[in-house]
Amino acid sequence: MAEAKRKAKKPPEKLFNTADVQASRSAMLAKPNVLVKMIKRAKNPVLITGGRLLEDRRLVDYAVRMHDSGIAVIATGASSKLFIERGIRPDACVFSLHYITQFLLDESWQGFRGKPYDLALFLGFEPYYLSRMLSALKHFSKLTTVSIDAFYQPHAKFSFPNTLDLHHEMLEEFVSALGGGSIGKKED
Amino acid sequence: MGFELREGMFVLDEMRNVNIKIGRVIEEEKEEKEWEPAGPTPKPHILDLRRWDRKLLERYEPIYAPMQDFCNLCTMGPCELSQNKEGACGIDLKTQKARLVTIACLIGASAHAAHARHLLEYALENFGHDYPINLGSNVNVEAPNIRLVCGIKPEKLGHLEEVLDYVEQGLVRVLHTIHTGQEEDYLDFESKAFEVGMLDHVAMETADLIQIAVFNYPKGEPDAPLIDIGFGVLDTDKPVLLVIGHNILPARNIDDYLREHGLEDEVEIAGLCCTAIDTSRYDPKAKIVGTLSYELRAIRSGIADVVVTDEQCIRADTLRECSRLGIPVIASSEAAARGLPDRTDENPDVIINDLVSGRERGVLIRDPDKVGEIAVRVAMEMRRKKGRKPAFMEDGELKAEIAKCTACMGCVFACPHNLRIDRAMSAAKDGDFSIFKELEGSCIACGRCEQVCPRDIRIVDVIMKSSYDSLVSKTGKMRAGRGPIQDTEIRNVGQPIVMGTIPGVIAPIGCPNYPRSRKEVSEIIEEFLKRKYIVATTGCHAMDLGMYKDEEGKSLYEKYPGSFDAGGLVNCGSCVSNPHISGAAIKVANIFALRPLRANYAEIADYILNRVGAVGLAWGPYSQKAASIATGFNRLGIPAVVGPHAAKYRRALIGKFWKKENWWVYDIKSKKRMNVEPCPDALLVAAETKEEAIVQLARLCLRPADTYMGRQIKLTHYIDLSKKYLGCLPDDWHLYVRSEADLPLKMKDELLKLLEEEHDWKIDWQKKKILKGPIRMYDSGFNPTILEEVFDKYSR
Repeated sequence: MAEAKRKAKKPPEKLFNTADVQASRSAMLAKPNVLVKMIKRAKNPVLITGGRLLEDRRLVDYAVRMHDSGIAVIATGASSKLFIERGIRPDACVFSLHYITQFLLDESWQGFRGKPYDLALFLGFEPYYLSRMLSALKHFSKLTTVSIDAFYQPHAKFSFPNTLDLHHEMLEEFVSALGGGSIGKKED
Repeated sequence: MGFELREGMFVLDEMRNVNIKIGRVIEEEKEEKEWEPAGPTPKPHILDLRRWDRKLLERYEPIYAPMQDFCNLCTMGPCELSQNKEGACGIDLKTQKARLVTIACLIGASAHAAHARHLLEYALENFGHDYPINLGSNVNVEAPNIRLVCGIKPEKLGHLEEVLDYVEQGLVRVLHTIHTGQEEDYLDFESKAFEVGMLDHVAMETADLIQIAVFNYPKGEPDAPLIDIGFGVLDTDKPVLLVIGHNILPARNIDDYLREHGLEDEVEIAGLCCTAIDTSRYDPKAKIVGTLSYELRAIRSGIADVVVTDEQCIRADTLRECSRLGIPVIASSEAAARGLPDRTDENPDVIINDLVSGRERGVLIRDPDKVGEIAVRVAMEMRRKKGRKPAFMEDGELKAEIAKCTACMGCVFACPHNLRIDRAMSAAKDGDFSIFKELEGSCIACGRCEQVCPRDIRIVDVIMKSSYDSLVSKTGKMRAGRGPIQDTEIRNVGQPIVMGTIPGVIAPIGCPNYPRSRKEVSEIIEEFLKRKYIVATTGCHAMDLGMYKDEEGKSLYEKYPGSFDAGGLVNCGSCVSNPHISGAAIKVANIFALRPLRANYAEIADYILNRVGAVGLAWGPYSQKAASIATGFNRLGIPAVVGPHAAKYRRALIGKFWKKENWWVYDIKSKKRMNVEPCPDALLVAAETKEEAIVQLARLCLRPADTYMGRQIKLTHYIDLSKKYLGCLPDDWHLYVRSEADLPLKMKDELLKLLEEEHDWKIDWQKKKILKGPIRMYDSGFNPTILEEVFDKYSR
């Protein structure tokens, strides 16, 4: 085994799990400024937050700033409590990411506020769990999915690279470029 | 001349020089006592319950989350199926995923069916065909799943042969449909997965009935003894014999040998996984180390003088790991021969000598009776020869291992939880082991990190060593698996469960692949015990519930009674004891509601779906058995909340609350079809955090048939838990309100106001009465079903 290990290449840095491999396209790396343009072009973008916000309160700061810039928030994994403490009522609080993914897969769904979402940002999830949900959305929907988590998510359409310890800096750059107030207001 | 008579009746007259072998003797055909008229689906075949399945699947639409987007099962492939493309055989991605779900369930159910077959063969040989199945005077409905599915009332061991024959045939029938070029409809595959899940519950029930009957396990006693659990309960001054797996037979014979030779105080028998649970049901003195996630830790710690393996959920590197430490291995099952020589028929003295001397790393002994003697004698000889094991890792070794780390991050990307081992290593280099101590609670000791480490650091050992003192001193108490729920208990709780005044039955079951700390499952469950839900558990969850103690040093089993009643914590036993939980739901329909049981699957499942607020919790599912068990619960109308790792099963069953057309029933009282509130709104769904799981569990206990008192209690808990953990009212609370009487008393005015202001409901404020708004108004005689035949039957 030791010999095989020596021969093995260093795992590709971009996969959060080296065995989570699919034949179809992998996510394009999302640069903060490009991502901002994409979001500003979207009709109804939504930020979906997960349970890791409970462990990393700085993620909450960034999520709140995204909300303040006009992006709707769906809070899962009990992350809603952190928004409510800051006076923000997310579009939904009680449904887990599994439910939300099921809803997003249905083209007839009009979202929680009567308007379908066309771009979803994901922040603060267990990587393996998010990976599966992104896989579902990749194969069975047309939704634009963007992971802004610390680990690269191959099944998103766009993903941050493995930022790991630089995650906060990357989010800072992204949120600063996002500015405020004008997102998601386009008419059909 | 010789010939063999197989089953049947023969008349022999004036025959000489005849050598006759007699197979099973069949008594002259007697009219089977009509214990209950047979229902519509005795021993259902694949398609017999398809209509019921479709009803479920239309409402709870499968959601597929592919692990792979290709298929390579046949040589026309591999075929890329991304974006739901079709492969060379014509199958699309969705259907291929449903096929894989069916395969996973087949693997799981086959494990239980083979386990049951092993037990049955042993029991028939040693106890006889006519050995009675008697679960005591409090359990008359001894086999609710078998009666429901097969239409058989098993009174003696021999009757279980017919049951297992049916299960095995059923599994093969479904397996055949997996072949390339069969189904093209994903819902038909899902229906087959349901079929397999149902068969699994029959197989598990068969296995547990056998063990309870012949080994005299507890028979539903709420006060089953408390069992020692945890590394710290072992007396390592004695030789330690470690049994791992799921089949009691070798462990039971080890226990017998110890008792017969007066050695029970000389040798420690300790178990891992469900073998441990079942050994403690046989002998309360047997000790439990822990769950599957302790396997590598237990072996690496070097506490064992010999390791005995049987079947299922045993690491596939057990022999390699044990050999590295000079621990002999005795394999005892056809399921896992481990490449070892079959020494079943040899003289035990020779085998023992070979193992103790190290000439053999291990042996395969297929006769469980023989394992008893050999395992005990090897353990004692090994201890005499080698003395007490030294500490598995010295402080100097720990430092040396940590020093090797270059922070390449390979381990982080290999870890199933992406644990930040790099950070822990870095801190440990400065003498700070706090991150490692924190990691230990989440680490499942799978060893993937070590496989990729370019410096060959013993990462699992480092994590273990950093928390060694707390790990080896860990002790707890688990109530022994009591087996069935008594009929008398069902009579007491049937009505409050169906009314909803007992707000629900929560069933923590399954494996230890938890998303975070192992103690989370205790924290989730105590929330419901305090609120007087009934909790019934099995398997690894049952063990972990005993592993964590409160500030007063008490485990949940010591704090809450073992009765199937409000606020009770019932440990039914091992994996194969799960049908006691599905059986309890079936018994509510049968014993309390007097619905016919025999071969009447769809009606009973329909009853449970609409009335029995039972929900499973598999917070750490990893195995195919867990997939199959959950699928069996789902077909019976019992939802399950699963941990986030369960998303890797690829499929969940989640309803869409906004699709009003999916949420309807026939009301037998009003003789109308009507819309109902979306409850339960999922059959299988993952939660990411314990806080989220708690709220989901409370919601999934809601049922359309709740009385206003029951709905008020259930809604009170749902809203209260949502406010506590999510910080707000749940988004969908209003969907479950049928009248003002459903509202939590303390919040009634506040909620009525919200209904008026936010949801445009009409309220009569003088009477504080809802005039308009609910999906349907409350009716005390409401009698729901989603089955036309049940509607016809009871509305005549």
